[in-house]
Amino acid sequence: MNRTMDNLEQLPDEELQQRLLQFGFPRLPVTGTTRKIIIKKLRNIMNNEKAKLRRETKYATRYSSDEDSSDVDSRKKQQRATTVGASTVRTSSYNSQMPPPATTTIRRATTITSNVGNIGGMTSSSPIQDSKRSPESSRNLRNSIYVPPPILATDSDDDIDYSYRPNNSINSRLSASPSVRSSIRSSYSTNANYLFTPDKSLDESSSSSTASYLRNRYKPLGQKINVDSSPPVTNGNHRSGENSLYSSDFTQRLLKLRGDTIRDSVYKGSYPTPPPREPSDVVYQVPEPQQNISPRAAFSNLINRLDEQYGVKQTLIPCVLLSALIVFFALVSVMYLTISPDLANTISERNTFYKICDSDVHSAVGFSQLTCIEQGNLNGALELLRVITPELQKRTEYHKCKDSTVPFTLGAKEIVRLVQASHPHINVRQTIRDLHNVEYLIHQNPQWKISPVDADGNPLTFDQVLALRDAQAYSFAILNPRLPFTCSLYNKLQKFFLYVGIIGISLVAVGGLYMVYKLIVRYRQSKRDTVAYLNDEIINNLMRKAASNPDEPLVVVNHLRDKLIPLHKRRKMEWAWNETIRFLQQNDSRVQFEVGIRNGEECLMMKWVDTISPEQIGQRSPIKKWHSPAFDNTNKIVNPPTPCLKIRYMFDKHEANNPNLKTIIQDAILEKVGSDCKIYDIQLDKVNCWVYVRCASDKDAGIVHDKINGWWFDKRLVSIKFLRLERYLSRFSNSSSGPTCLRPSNTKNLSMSQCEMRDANAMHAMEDDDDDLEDDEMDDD
Amino acid sequence: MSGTSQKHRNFVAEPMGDKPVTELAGVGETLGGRLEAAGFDKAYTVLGQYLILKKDAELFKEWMKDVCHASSKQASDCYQCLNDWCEEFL
Repeated sequence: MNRTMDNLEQLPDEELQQRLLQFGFPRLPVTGTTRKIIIKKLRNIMNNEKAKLRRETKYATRYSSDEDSSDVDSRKKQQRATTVGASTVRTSSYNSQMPPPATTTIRRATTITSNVGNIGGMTSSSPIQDSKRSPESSRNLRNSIYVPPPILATDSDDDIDYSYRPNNSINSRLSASPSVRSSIRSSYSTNANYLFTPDKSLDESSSSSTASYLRNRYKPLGQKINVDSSPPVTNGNHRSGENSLYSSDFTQRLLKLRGDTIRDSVYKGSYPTPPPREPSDVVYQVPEPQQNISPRAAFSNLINRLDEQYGVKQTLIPCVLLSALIVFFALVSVMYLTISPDLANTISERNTFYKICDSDVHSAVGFSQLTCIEQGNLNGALELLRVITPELQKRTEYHKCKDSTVPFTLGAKEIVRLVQASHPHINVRQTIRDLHNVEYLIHQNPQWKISPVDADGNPLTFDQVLALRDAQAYSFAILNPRLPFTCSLYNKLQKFFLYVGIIGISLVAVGGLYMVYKLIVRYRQSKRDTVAYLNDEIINNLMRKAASNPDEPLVVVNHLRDKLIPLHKRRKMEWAWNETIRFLQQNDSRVQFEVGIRNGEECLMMKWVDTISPEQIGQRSPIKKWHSPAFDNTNKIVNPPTPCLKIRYMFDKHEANNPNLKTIIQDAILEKVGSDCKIYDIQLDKVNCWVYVRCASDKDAGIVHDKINGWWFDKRLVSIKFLRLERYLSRFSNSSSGPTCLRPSNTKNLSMSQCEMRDANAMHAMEDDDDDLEDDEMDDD
Repeated sequence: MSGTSQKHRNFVAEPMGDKPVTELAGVGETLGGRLEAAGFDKAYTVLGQYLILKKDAELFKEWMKDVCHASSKQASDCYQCLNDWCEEFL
C-alpha cells in the first residue's frame, strides 16, 4: 500500500523533513546518510497510523459522541491551521524563531497558487537544497493530487511520538492523563487560531471555494457535529465545485481525520515557543463549546438511537395522533359520565306528546285535564315542569347519594309551595291548573321518566292520580334516575365493600372459631399427655421400687410427686398430679393405695401389687425393648456424614430365625426415632447380626444416631456406625430409595419402655391364658 | 546490562581524536568494515551521524542497523558509548 501510495523515495529532502515535523519529530537534517533512515521511519509510522485508522474507522462510523466530534473538530482545525499557517508564516516572516509547523501540501499548492510561489521562493533559500528539487516538485505538482494532505497530516502514532520526544516536557505530560492531553490540545487549537488568520490570507490568495471551505471549517465548534456525522455529503458540497476527482480522497481524509486524538498535542510539542498558557485557562476553553453542544447533541443522539432501535421517527406521529384521539374520547366519556343530567332543558314543546283540546267541547264541560290540554295552558304546564324536574333530580341525587332519609318525591302541595316561593306573582289557582296539566303531560310522556307516586313511593296510574287530585296527596318522583357517575360509582363501591366486608367478617369469625377449637383440642391433648406422662412415671417408679425392694414396695404419694415434678412446676402441675392419682385410684388395680404412717405422720402411700416385676417381663417378652440410654447427651453427632447407618447388637444370632425379626427391629427403630425422621429402608444382616438403615438425608441419619446410639436395647448396648451410600447400595442394590418412608407396623409403640406396663399386662394375662398370647402375636405382625 | 564494557570505558575516558570507528563500543571488525565501506571510517563521523540525528536513540540505532547490519545490542552499545562520550566532552 505504501509503495503505491506514498512517494517518499522521490520526495525532496525538505519534503521529508517537513513530513517528519508533521509527525512530531524534531527537525532533522535530511542528508544522504539520514535520508534512508528517515524514509524508513516515516513509512513505519504511516503504516501504524493506517492500521490504527482502519481499526478506528469502524468505530467512527457509528455515533460520534461529543468527545469524538470535538476531537475531530479541533484536529481538523489544527490541520487547516498548520497547513495554511505554514504558508502564512513563510510568506511573511520566514526567519522568525518559530519554524513552520507543518508541510505545505502539494494539493494546497495547486489550489492556492500564490502560496506555491511563496514556497518556491522560500525553498530556494533553504540551506539544504536538493539538486533534484525543481523537477521533483513540478512532478509532485502533478502527481501529488493523489497524495491527500490528511495522509501526511494524520499519520502518527502515540507511542512513537512519545518516544521520539523524550526531552519534551509537554509530551511527557501528555502521557499523564487524558485531561492534561485535552487541555494541551485545546491550548493548541487556540494557538492555531492565533497563528492562523484564514480570512486574511485566503481572501487575497486563494480561490473563493477553498476559502469558504476553510471558513466552514472554522465555524464555531458547536456546528461541527453535524458536519462530522455526514462526512461524505459535506465533502461533496465543498469539493464538487472544484474537482469531483478529489471526492474519494477527501472521503478518505475525513475518515482518517476521525482517527487519533493525540497528534494535535504532539504538534504542540513541535513548537519550540508555545504560547505560555495556564492550564486553567485552557481547561475552560474546551468545555465551553461542548456545553453548548451537549444538550442538543445528546437529544439528537438519543432520538437517533431510539430511531435505530424502534423506528421512533416513523411511528412517532401516528402514535401521537392515536393517543391524542384516545385521550379525547376518554375525556368526552368522563365528562358525559360525570355531568348530572339536565332534565329541565330536555323538556320543550317540540318533543312533548300532547293533544290539544277541542276548545268547544271541553271548556264547556270544564273537564279539560283528563285527555287533552288546552293550547293556552301548554306553556304554563311546561314552565311548571321545568321548575319541578331540577328539584326532583336534585332530591333524587341527594336521596341516592347522600342521605337516604330525605324523601326523593315531590308532593303536589310542595310543588304549589315551591312555585309560590319562586314565582309569587302566579296565583295558586293558576298553579294548580298547571299542575293538573303537568299530570296529564307526565302521563303522556313517559320518556321523561317522571312518574306520579303516592306518599309511600309506589307508582300510581293516571286514574289513581285523578282520584287523589283533590286531596293533593300524590307526589312526583324519578323512579329510575340517571345518577352522576361519581354517585353511582360510590354506590356500587359501597355495595361491593359491604359484601366484601360481610364475607370477610364471616370468614374471620369462622377462622377464629376454628382457632379456638384447635386451641381447646390442643389444650386438652396437652392435659392428657401430662397425665399420661405422670401416670407412666408413677408406675415406673412403683415398679422399680417393687423390684428393688420387694419387702417395702410402698411409696409415699407426696414424696413421689416431689420427686417427679420439679419445684417450680409443682403448683402448676398440681391438677395433673391429682388427676393422675385419682385415675390410678379408680382405674388401676395393680396400684394399691393405703394410708400408712411414715415418720410419725399419716400419709397416703401406694405400691405396685402386680406379681411380675419388669425384669421378668423383659426376659420373657418376644418384643424387644428400648431400656435406657447408657450415656448422657454428649453422645450426639453434629454433622452426620452419610445417610446410611449400620446398627449393631440389635439382635442375637439365635434370633435370626425369627420370621418376625425384621418387623420387630423395624418397629423398634421407627418407634424410637419418631415419626419426624424419614427412613427409607431397613435391612438386616442376619449373619453378622447387623441392621442397615437408609435414611432420606444425612440429617435424618443423625437423628437416628442420636436416638439409638448408646441405648440399651433388649439388654444389649446398641452401637451405630455411619455407612457410605455406595456401600449400602452395593450391599442392598434393590433397596427402596424413597420417597415413601417406612412406618411402624402398628401404633402400639410396643418397643418403648413406657409401654412395658401395658405389655406386662399382656404378659401377665398370657401366663393365665395361652390364647391371649396368640392374639398378641397376631397384633405384632 | 550489569555494567559497561571495557571498550566503552576506554572510549568514554578521553576525547576521541582521530580514533577509528572500531574503537566505538559495539563496533567490531565486521561492523567497522561495513561502516568504513559506507564512508564512516572515523569514530567522529559516526558521532556526526549521531549528532545529526539529534542524539535520538531510536533513529541512531535504526541507522546502525541499516548501514552496517548491527544487531540491537551492538547498536545499543554504540549509542550508549556515543551518548556517554557526549555527556563527558561535548
